[in-house]
Amino acid sequence: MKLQELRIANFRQFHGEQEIVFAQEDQKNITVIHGYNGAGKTALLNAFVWCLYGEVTKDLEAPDRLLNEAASSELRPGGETTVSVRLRFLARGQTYTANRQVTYRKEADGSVAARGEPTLTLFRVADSGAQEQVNNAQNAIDQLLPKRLYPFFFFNGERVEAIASAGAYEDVEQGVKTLLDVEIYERSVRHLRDQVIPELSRELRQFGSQEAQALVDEQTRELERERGFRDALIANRQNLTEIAKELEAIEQAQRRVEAIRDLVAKRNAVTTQKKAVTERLDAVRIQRAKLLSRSGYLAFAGAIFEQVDEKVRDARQKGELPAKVKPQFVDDLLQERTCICGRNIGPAEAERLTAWRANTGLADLEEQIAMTSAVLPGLRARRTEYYGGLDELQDALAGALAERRRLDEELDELGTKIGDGGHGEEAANLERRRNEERGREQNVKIEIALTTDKLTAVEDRLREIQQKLNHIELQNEKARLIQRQIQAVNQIADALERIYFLQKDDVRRELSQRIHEIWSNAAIKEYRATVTEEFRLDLKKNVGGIEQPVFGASTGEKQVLALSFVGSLVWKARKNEERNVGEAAGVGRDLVVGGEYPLVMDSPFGALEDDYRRKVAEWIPTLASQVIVMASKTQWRNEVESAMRDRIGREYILELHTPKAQAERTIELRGRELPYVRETSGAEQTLIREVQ
Amino acid sequence: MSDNDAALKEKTRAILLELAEPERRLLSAVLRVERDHLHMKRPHGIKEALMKAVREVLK
Repeated sequence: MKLQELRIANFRQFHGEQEIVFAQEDQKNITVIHGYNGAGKTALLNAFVWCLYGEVTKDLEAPDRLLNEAASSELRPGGETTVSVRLRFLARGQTYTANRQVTYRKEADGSVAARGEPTLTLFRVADSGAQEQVNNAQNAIDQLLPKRLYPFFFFNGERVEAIASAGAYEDVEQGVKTLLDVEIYERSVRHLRDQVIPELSRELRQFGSQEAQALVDEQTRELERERGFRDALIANRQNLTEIAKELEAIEQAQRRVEAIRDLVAKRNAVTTQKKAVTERLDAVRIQRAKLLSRSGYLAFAGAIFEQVDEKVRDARQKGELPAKVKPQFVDDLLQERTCICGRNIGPAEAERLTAWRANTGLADLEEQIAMTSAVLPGLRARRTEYYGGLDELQDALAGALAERRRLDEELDELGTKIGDGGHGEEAANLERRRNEERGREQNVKIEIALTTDKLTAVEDRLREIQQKLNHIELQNEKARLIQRQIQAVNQIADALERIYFLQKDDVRRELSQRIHEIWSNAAIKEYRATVTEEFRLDLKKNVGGIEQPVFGASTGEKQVLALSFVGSLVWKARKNEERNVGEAAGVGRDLVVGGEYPLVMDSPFGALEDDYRRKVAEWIPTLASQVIVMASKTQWRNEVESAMRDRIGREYILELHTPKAQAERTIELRGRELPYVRETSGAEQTLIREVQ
Repeated sequence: MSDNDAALKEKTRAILLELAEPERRLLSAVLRVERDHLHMKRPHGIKEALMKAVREVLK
């Protein structure tokens, strides 16, 4: 999607109809809009959101009052005026114009109110060049840029860190899956397995044999149970997200209580240590399992080694070893009938040789013993090594367990101190609430583990039933066709599931890599930024060779992290579009669809240090194909301007007109002083001026 | 194209080539139906649309 032009009329600070044309060239892809505080930067950001989705962001105060004050005051009783936002954009090769508007009317008592709900229309430029109206405009817009994705593209930079908070995990995960086209596989598999196969099975029940009917009945029951477990898992995961949000809020509140601040910081540090010890414990357990599966049999080999030694000793004592004559040698003599000394072997000698031949079998024993003896020292050494390694791992395990117990005790002690009534009622209450939430968290986790087990068992059973249904003998032709359809749908669901995992892994890996690159380039600290399996942003640091999560990253750090995440998403979506996996795989363009997305950012540099401001200003325009930045004079200054200047394609000032005396301000752009705030005798309003 | 991109394409192709031709056509049809309904949280009529695709491809 590329934004081409925005036309707004009487929307918030903007009086009358005004327009902005956006920069779209590859190397000049930035549109910058300067505005004094209160001039309408946030209103402008919301004009996009309102036009496309009919709602506004939380940043906009008094969201129900969209009509410009000057336009409202100009109305006479009975008079009407319209608030509208029209956005022209390019998406999937076609030009669209979305228009949302609402009419306001002034009543006889002077009150002004909206007449009905805002209406949305969407036009598309047809191949003939004519404008044609698109039916079901909201649905069409949701297909072009799903509503759940807009927080990634239209955002307030001063609050962008919310993307990295616990409360946003679910939205972020879902948003990433939609944006990077992973969601379609997840949904396809679910719909095929939960809806299409049961429907086909019902048809099979109708036309199939008694055996088929019984299997379908059982499948229906198991599917019902499976759905129940899945619903329970979803509910419990939502509970966990809610609990995580609550815990984060409680811990933030605790950090604000002076009396317990140090104790809370200490507890965070100990929690980090405990997490590292637990990770170490898991790693040692995995190592031990590997050692046991590789060399565990050697533990039972001691007696066998002894027996082999004994057999060798016995054979030597009996004179059976080493064997005097090889059987092949005797066989050759008998065959040739000539001795090695040249004499002929007559019947009497041959008879003696044949008797002798019976004893030569011992040479096989000798060969076997020679081979075993060669292997035995190595096996004995491995056995010793195995015991040594096992002892070492057991020691490491015991050490880690003891350390974890000690840290648990320390955490208990810190919890008791933090919740001690001596630090005041607020501190005690917060700790009590924290303990309650932690208890709930544990219970929900147990519930999730139990439900997951049950779900796995049901899934196994469903697979067995499906296998049987695939292979039962059917007489009826219609039933055989349905059986064939079920088999095909199952195969497709399996293939889509495998592609889903491939794509998901690719998305996660590439996002992680990109974010890491951007973050390492921008950040001052040696933190490592990654994306987890669940598409959560993760910040880690290296402490004594162990990676540990970062607690208490600053707002600025979180903002840079969130911006690098958004930038990486947009970059990856562009890459998917260019890469077009599907075409190469011979199933057309439907397989993976990417896309170009703009970034519309209100005050993206607000809370950042100079270094961060420069870095963000440098890399954002290289990741997104189109960038629209709204900034105040302070936010735009120095490093941001110098980093972005060469890529600016269009530049505007939101010229604030205010009745306040001596409010005049100017802004210096391209070496010229231009009006920024102006005095007016009329009502307050903002005029959009293009900087030429 | 990077090595990773090439590997991903190859793996995806291998999965698809394990399917017979009618199954591959059905997979394309399934994705088209899903894409048309992707913007809906509760995709109304998706079962019917998918069943139609199955019946059309596998007669």
